[in-house]
Parts: sequence; C-alpha cells; structure tokens
Amino acid sequence: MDKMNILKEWSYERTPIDKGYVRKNLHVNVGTPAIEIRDISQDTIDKFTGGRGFDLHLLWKAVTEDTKWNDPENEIVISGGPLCGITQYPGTGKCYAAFISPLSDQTYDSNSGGYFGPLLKFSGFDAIEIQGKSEKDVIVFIDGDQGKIQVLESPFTDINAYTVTEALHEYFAKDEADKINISVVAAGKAAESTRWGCLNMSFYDPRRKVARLKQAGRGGGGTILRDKKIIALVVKYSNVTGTENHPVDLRTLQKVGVKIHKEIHDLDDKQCSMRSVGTAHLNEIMDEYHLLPVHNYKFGQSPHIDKIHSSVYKKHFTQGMADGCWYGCSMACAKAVDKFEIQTGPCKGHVVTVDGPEYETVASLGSNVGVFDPKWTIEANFYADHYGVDTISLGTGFAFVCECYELGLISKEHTNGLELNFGAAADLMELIHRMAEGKDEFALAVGQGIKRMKSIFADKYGADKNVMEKIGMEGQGVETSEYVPKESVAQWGGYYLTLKGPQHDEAWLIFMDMVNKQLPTFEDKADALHYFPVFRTWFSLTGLCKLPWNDVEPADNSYRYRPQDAAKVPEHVQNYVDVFNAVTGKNVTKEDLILQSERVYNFQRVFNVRMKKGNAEHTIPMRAMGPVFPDEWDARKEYYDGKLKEFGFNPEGMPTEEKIAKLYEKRWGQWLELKKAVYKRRGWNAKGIPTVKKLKELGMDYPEVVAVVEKYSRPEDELE
Amino acid sequence: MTWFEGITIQDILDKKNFTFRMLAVWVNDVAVPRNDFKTFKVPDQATVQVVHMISGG
Amino acid sequence: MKYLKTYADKCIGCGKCMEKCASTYFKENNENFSRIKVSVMGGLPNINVCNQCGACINVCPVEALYRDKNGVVRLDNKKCTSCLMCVGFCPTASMFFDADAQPQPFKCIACGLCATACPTGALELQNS
Repeated sequence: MDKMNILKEWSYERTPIDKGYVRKNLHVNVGTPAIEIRDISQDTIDKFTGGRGFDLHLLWKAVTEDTKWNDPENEIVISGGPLCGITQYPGTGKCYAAFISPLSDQTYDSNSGGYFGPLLKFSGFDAIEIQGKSEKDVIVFIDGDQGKIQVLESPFTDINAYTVTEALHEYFAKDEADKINISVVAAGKAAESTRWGCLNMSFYDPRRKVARLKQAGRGGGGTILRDKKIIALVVKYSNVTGTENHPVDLRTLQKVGVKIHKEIHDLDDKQCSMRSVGTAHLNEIMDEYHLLPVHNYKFGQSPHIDKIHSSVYKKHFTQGMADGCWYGCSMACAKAVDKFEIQTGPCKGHVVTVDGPEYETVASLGSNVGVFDPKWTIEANFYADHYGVDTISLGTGFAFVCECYELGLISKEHTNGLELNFGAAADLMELIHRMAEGKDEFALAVGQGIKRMKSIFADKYGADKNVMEKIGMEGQGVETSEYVPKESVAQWGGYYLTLKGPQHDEAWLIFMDMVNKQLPTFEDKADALHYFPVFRTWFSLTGLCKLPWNDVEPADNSYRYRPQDAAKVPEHVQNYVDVFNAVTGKNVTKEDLILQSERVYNFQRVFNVRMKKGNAEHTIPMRAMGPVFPDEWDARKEYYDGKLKEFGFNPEGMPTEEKIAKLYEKRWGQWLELKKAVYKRRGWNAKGIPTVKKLKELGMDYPEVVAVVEKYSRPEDELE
Repeated sequence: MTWFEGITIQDILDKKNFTFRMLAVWVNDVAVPRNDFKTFKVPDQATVQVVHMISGG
Repeated sequence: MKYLKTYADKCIGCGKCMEKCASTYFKENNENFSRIKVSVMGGLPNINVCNQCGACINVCPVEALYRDKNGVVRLDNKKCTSCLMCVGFCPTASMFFDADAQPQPFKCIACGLCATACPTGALELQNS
C-alpha cells in the first residue's frame, strides 16, 4: 500500500494508567479536524464508573435534545472501563460504543471484543469521542507508542471491513510480529446504505496470520461512522505486559485469575462447550425449549434442527486454537471457520477465515429466515461483517421481509425480482449484495429497518400496516435478538422493557420464568427485571465480558446455594468484587456493584426520555407475546389450548382466530401489569421516567438530569 | 407426573425433556449434585425443583 | 529432549533444590520463587516439576511458549502478557507464579542446577 497522505497530526504525552484509570479522554472532531485531550473528574469516576457510563456521560454533554443521528454533533464514544485491559482474568478486553442511534433516535450502547478498547486505554485514553463530519473519507490513527494522533486521507476504493482491516494492520506494523499491537475499527458499504451498520473491531491472530473481526454490532454505530466519512479508527500500542493497569494488588488478581482458568479448563467441556463451539452450543437447546426463532418467530422449534446442531457447526470450527478475543480469555468462545471458499458476490473464489457464526447469527441468518444450511450462514456472516452490517438486525429484518412476502403484502415486482419466501437462500444472499451495492430501491427500503419498513411498505406497496405491526419484531425501533420471548412474561420485559431496545444483554430471563417457574408473581418478575438488567449492565461499565460470569460455573455452584442464589453464581460475583478491588484499590462489596450500575441505568433512562421529548415508550409487537396466525397456534395446539384454559376459557369448538384474539387480550393485560410493576420497582413513574427521589437516592440528581425529569413528569403519572 | 418405585432424577429430566446441561436439582429442599442424577432415587410425594442455570446471550 | 527426571523415593525433603533454583533465577532464597516444588503429600515426599510435555504451548495467545533446540519448553518473557492461562491449563500444575517475583509465570528449563545441588540423587537431568 502506498504511503497515506497525513491531513493533520498532533503529538501528545501519554499518561500512564493508575489503578485502572487514565483520567483522560480524547475528543476528535473529524470535521475541522481538531483534537482535544480532556480530563475526567473524580466525580465522573465515582458516579459513572467507566465504559458505557463514561460514554453516556460524554454523549449527554455533546448533544442537545434536538440532535439527530446524522447531525455533526452526534458522537460515537468508545470506552472500556477500569478493568479493561487486564489479562489475568478471562473476558477483560471489552469496550462499549455509545451514540444516538439511527434506528431508535435515542441512545444505543453496543459492546465489542477485540483489542481496540485495551490498546486505546494503554495509549492514554479512558474514552474516545468522535464528533463532526469529514468532507472526504479519512482514517484516524492513535499511535500510543509514539504519542501521535493523525487524521489521514483514505486511499481505499474498496472500503469493506476485511480489505481495510488487513491493509491497515499491514501498513502500521513494522513486521508480522508487530501486527498484534494494532486494532482497527471499520464498517463497510452496507453501513452507508442501511441503518444497520456495525462497528467491526479487530484483533490479529498470530497463528492463523489473519485479522479477526469482533463487532459492536447493534444500533447502527457503523452507519454513523460512514456518515462521518470515517473509513477506520486505528490504534497501536506495543509490548503489552499485562500490568498496564498498574493494579494495586497483582497477587490477588493472579490468584483469582488462575482459579477460574483452571475451572474453565476442568469444566467447560461438561458445561457449555464454549472452547469448542462458542455460543453455538445453544442451537439445539433453544430448539428443545421452543426458543429458537423459526420463520420470523412464528415457531420456536424446527424439524430441521439436526442440520444446524452444534455438532454440525463444531466440524466447521477449527478446534484447539487460542481463540480469546483479548489476552487471557480462557473462555475462548470466538470460534472461526478456516479455509472457507466464498461462493457468491465480489469475494467469490476467495478462501477466507470467517469469525463465527455465533448463536445469534446461526439463528438470525438461519432458522429465523428458514435457511438451515451452515455453509450459507457462514457466508452470510462473512459478508455481513465485511459489508459492515449487524447480523442480528439483518436476520430479524429479513425474517420480517420474508413473512411479508409469504403473506402477499409485498410482491416480486416490489422486490425487483427476488422471490423472498422463507428458505430462499440464493435470493436472500443476493439481497445482502444489493444492500451493499446501494442502488436497488427495495434493498434500500429493507435497510431502513423494520420500524420504517412498515411505513414504506404501506405507503409504497400498499401493504397492510395492521398486519405488519403484529409481525414486525422490533421494539423502540430496534430489531429483536434471537430468542423467542412469547411464552415467558418475564422475557417480554427482558426484551421490551429495556433501555435501548430488545437486545439480550440487559436480561435473559426466559429460563427463570418459563422453565423454572421461579418467578410466579408479577412482583417477583419485577424484582428479577430490576436485579438482572442492573447486574448484567455492570459489566458494561468495567470492560468485562459477561460470559465467564455464568457460561461456566464452579463445580459446586448448583448445590451449594439455594436455586435463586445459584443462578447469580455467587462465587463468580465475588471474583469480580475481588478483581475490581485488586485493580482499583477500592473496597467495594457486591451491593456496590449494583449501585454503580443502577446509577448509569437510571441516567441512561433519563437521557432517552430527553431525546424522545418525554415519550420514551416501551412497545411490544403481538408476535412477541403469542401466536398471530392459526398455523402458529396449531403447531402447539394442546399447549395453547391449555394456556387459554388457564385464563378460564373453554377452547372446545372455538375458532382458532377467536382463541388467538382472546389469549392476546389476556396477555396484553398481563403486559400492562408487568410494565407497571417493573416501573414501580425501578423507582420510575407510570411513563417510565425515573423520579427525582430515585435520582437523589442514587446521587444522580444533577441539575440537567433533574430538569428533564421535571419537564416531562406529571403528578398524575406518579406510581406510589 | 406419575411416580414409580426407583424413579431417578434423570428419569424426570428425560420425561420433561430438560436437556440443558447446567441444571440444579433440589429434592425436598436438599440439593443433589449433577453426578448423582442417574442414581438418586426420588421418594414418592417429593417436591422436585429443577433450576436451569441461565447462560448464553 | 532434555528434562528433569525425579525419584521421589530418594527425596529427603532438604529443600536444597528449591534454594538453588530460586537463588539462581530470582536472587532470593524463597521457595515460592522456585521452579521445582517439593512438598509432603500423604506423609511422602512429592516433587512437582515440569516434564516438558508442551501442553501449554497452544494455550498461549501470543506464542510466548516454544520448544528450544533441546526440546525444552521455554517462556519468552518479552512476549508474555502474564495472563497465566498456561498455569491454569498445565496438566501437572507445574507452571508457577508469584507476583513478588515477576508478573510472568515461570517453569523448569532443565538447566540441571537443582540436580547438582541434590545430595541424594533424587533429581537427574536426562535426555530422552
């Protein structure tokens, strides 16, 4: 690659990390271009902890309530957190990207593995803010070794992720061995033409000699990156020793780390098999429990499950590789398919390494669209990453399109020749390519996302809006991720009472509710919907991956504790307390973790209320709550008739449409009760706005935050 | 479900199709380690609680 | 391949091997810094030292573990990111660590100094 043209360059003095914090963030305006290195105050650390917390705090100050996702003042903010970059414990390289989302028009936060978070921090920045818009395509390079920041003119004609990422690893490395010291954030062509753009974040695999891609997949971060005319963010930092965070107590860190490395070594094969199949161990389990999305969530099971069983995928994943997405990850869930020959599109004939598929992609670009062919899924996964588009949004979005096509709401004329029935593998792959090409009107419409597709299909193609509202699996404008929530009241809340939209990183309560029957009352469900989202989002503040929390458990976990407590994996929670204290020198307890998280949780809710001018409504489609059409009822007739009987109805002789309507009416009542119980438990009013009392309790009653609450709260909405 | 003499925890799990590997089982408020599922005989009228240790996501 | 062969039945638990090893490589007579560990298990001497099996080599994310020209498994401290996965994955628990010694773990490199120090011939440098 020829030498790139440096548009502007700055020198800086790298501040070393002190007990997990640099206390500096880098602000880059790619419009000017200009940079500013700003201090992070102790109050910010105390209240926002780091990672997603820092992101939201900085984003709040950067935008106004009128900021749209494609205004120059919208930012992509990326931060890891105080534990980001330690190596002794598995899953410690995560960072979060936050921004005003093109899908939901409020905040979205998305996590990614790879080396970007740690190397950014080692280079001297707890967080990076990218604001403004460049006139021409640029690359931003942070050189932590030399203390230099550059904005370079992009020379790329092919701007897709693998092309850009490989080339930039090559360009900035002095030799092959140096490539592991670089990480690249990149999107691709489909991020330009859709709202589903993802942020790929790389790490270099020295044994495979390829750059691997992890993703901050959801919410449209990649779309914003391309809107700002950024081709890539690059960071370089060499000679990682594992002590960059200067932990107070390395001894404890080592002791806890070795304990869990050994635990994973001894038990992973018997538990979740993460090291051999990654999250794809879930495929047949979800199918067993009617939780695998099939044909746009119509069904939770398929007779074709044997074709996508984890044992089938295991044959595609190269075994025995050191597959952590940051140093020290013994969970090593990042499986890859090697020597895969691409069959379609611009990369046809190329032999590549594909990262994944993870469970979400197996289901989204698989069972949900009715394609039960691992090789198709692997290729779709490759192109989604390469073109810079989120696999979950893509799959769930396509599933909606397929059902609209099957129902005759849209036709072959509208799709420009594509016959988009469920299972139409070739035509669905072609649709992905057309999205990247960015010229086909229908492909562009699909890329607007389900929420906007409903309006476009109704206005342009005369499709029935009522039907589409029932089957479009989106909440707050964001596509649902790949678990069927219909039979779990707690999971309705787990998906649709979230801060950002139906993404599973806030709560994953299906097992607890439906299978365990551990949450019998609405208050119990509300309590779980308070604890689990708050606990799970703690990981987002600190730079941690959630998988080592409960995708492996100590041998005695299931019988040492009462069931409700065992589900929280107390020994691992204690590990996190010990690790946090060992790095930061603080003396937190398990309860403090909840408090740290609850602060940011409520702050983010108020932020969304601010952006939605008081109307941050939690919506839920009918398909998420039960059957919509008779074939769905009849697939589990005995089960659904039983459900109707539980509500006191006699299904004998009742037409199926009527059964569906009656069940939905009752379940809608349950949804309203659940919502109210959850809002109350969270300390919010009837519109889901945190009360001033709650903010004061948490120490988050900043004047600008209270102002938003007071602006949009009415006395009649109080819940106490 | 119908109890029979010698019914084990594994029998119950098979009947209910609980194939998830990370299960916690309590019989009459006493925890039973996973290694014992195939041999532990469940008494008549026992309260059996099966908890799935939620993972994934 | 060079490796340290052990004869636990000859061990008298004098600790001279650990003293020699720690003093040589960490300049301190501290058992915790030794790459060979002698203890008592069930009333009998137990000698734990790396047998150069190499199971750790593939676990390392940065290829810091490798076999040298004598087949001995060595750790390149400059590449090591002190993640300690090799410690957790060693089948004989023979990769050691101590934060006061250094962040990186350490293991037997089959130098034979402990064998020379051993008064009873319980340790022997071998070539297989």
